[in-house]
Amino acid sequence: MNTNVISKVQRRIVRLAVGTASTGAMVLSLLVPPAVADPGVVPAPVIPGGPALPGWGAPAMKPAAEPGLLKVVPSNGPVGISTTISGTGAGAGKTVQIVWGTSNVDWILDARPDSVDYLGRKTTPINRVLANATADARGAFSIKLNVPQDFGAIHDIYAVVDGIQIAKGGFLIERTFKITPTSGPVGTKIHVSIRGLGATLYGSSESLYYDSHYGGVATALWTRGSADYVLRAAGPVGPHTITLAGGMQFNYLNYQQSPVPWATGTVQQFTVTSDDGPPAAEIDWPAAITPTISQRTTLADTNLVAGTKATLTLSATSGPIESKTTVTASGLTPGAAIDVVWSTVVGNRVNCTGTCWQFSTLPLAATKAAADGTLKAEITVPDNLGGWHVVQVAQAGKIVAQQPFFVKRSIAEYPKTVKAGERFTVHLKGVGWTQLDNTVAVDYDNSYVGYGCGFNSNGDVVLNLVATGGKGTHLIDIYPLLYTYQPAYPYPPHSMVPFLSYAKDAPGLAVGYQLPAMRIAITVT
Amino acid sequence: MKRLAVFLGAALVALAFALPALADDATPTPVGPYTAKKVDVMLYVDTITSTRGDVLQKRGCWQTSQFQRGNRVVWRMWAIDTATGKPLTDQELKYAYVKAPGSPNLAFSYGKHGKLDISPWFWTAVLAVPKDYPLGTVAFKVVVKTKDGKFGTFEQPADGASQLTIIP
Repeated sequence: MNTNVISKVQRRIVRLAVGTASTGAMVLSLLVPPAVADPGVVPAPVIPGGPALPGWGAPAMKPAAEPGLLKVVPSNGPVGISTTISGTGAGAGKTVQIVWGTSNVDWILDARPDSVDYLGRKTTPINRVLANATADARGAFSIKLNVPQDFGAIHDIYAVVDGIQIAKGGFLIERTFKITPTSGPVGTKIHVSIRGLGATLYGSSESLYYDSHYGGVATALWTRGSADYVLRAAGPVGPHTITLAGGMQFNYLNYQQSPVPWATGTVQQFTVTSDDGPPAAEIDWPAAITPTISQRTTLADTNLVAGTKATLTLSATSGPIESKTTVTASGLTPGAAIDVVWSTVVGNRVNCTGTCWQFSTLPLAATKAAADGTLKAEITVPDNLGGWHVVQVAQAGKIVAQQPFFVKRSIAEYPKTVKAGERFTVHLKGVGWTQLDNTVAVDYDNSYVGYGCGFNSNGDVVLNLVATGGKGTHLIDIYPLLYTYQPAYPYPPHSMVPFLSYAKDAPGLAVGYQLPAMRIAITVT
Repeated sequence: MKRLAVFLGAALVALAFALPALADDATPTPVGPYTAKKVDVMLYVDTITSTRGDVLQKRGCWQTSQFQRGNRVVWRMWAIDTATGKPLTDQELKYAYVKAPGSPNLAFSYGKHGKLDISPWFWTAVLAVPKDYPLGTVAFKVVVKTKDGKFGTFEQPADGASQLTIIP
């Protein structure tokens, strides 16, 4: 059995006793640094299809002593609309930079070897030059341009000459909503497209209600106000109401009286045309995104024995539990015993003060290095926690090579048919332990009914549900969730509810977390 | 060794007596958001709704920072002489105005607001927001001068959602 000790001094020391077939009890002394990256803004990854930063960087500028007014016509509308910006007082023949006030909005994480905590979001105001205009002989200027695909709300616009803001105007990017298709059988994928979500905390998200049942929240931090996601048509044949509502997490019912009256919503109808039986189960993975920070929730950057010449590659670096990957290593001590182990953690977050989990290892293979110092062995991903782990190769009790591996979520089992009113379970595997991936949020017919955690049960999650809604097909959509209960930080928003925009705007994407929506269906009899 | 121990003991006793004296003499350093430069005239300024204008607001005298085009922005201001602590009336001020982009200076007037004996007196200035006034924040400035030559100014904090904002 593994025994583990973590003592919190200046450096945390982890002693792992690893039981293996070849060496019996092998004790490894591992030094685990505290947070290797300070909590902070996660660099935004490139989001496929995401809008680019508008224009180009604005030079330093300051207001004129007597700034004028810019005429912007129209001064509000959706992204892409054409608007004309004009003003006076620029000086004959001067170049006038049209500067657009906007923001970058980023997620804040604390990514450490033993966990990732979600700490919220940060808005950073920036200025971008959209175009240059040329003043006429009287110093007047005018330019027509298209409003960029950017965050909603009011953007300041400055006319800048030689670094001086000679005039100021503004443009309100209004929210727009598109829901397609508008009819189809139960299970039809409905694509929701929102433009003009804001950059500030209030006004930067949109919640979903299906027949007035809450379904989750969508954000657009890294997609500059553009949110796209999918829900599935549910309920009996006939019309159903889809409400997209402003507010940070839930419907802000009197948004028009708020300081962000442009945080609008929409009410649209979808008609369920038939119930053709339950659609096949599927997993919708997020967009393929290159992470922007190298720190994973693993020991990938630590614990290697000094001066090791060994190298290690994996034929696959992600997969569900019990999938296979081939370990190929070289530079090992020829003929010497090798332990291939799986680094993970054990513990939980419930009623926890401080850190209530420890590093642990699971044996994967015990063998010997070839005469040329190489190793090639197929290993099976353990039925254990999901998320980032590390495959380690040890010789003589020392880690000589290691590589990270991401364990994907998977659907293990669920009933196809359930009697009305009866309880049933949905069995998942590969749920993780960080604040990004230790919990799943469950929608039943697009209604949020609860969440399940996988840490204490080593990634194995059995969700207890009740068959409701009458006879016919009923949908269960299992979404990622940003967990914020323990440790709790001062109000990280958009948490503890289904995170609908997981595919293109989720903090974990920057750390390589591929967290999907898992979609299944049952027949209620 | 014994001599060294006696010396160290005496030093510790001396330090023990010295510490309370050091603590008593220490002057607390002001910290936090309450420190500010000294001014001759302190201004309290806010903006409130008006029931007049091309686009009417539902109720007057509600504190707000957001105004639609066609609304009237009413600035409410109290000027305090920091030497006496007394509010300055039209007997003491030479002038008081709001300077807003795209507008002539808006003069404040001093008056009683309400019909009761206890109704307050304060300064007000008004901007009828033109229908084509730019959307967004308005970087206004309030300037007052007393008859004895003291100045007071007010500008909004550069950051924050409480700035005067024109909305559609």
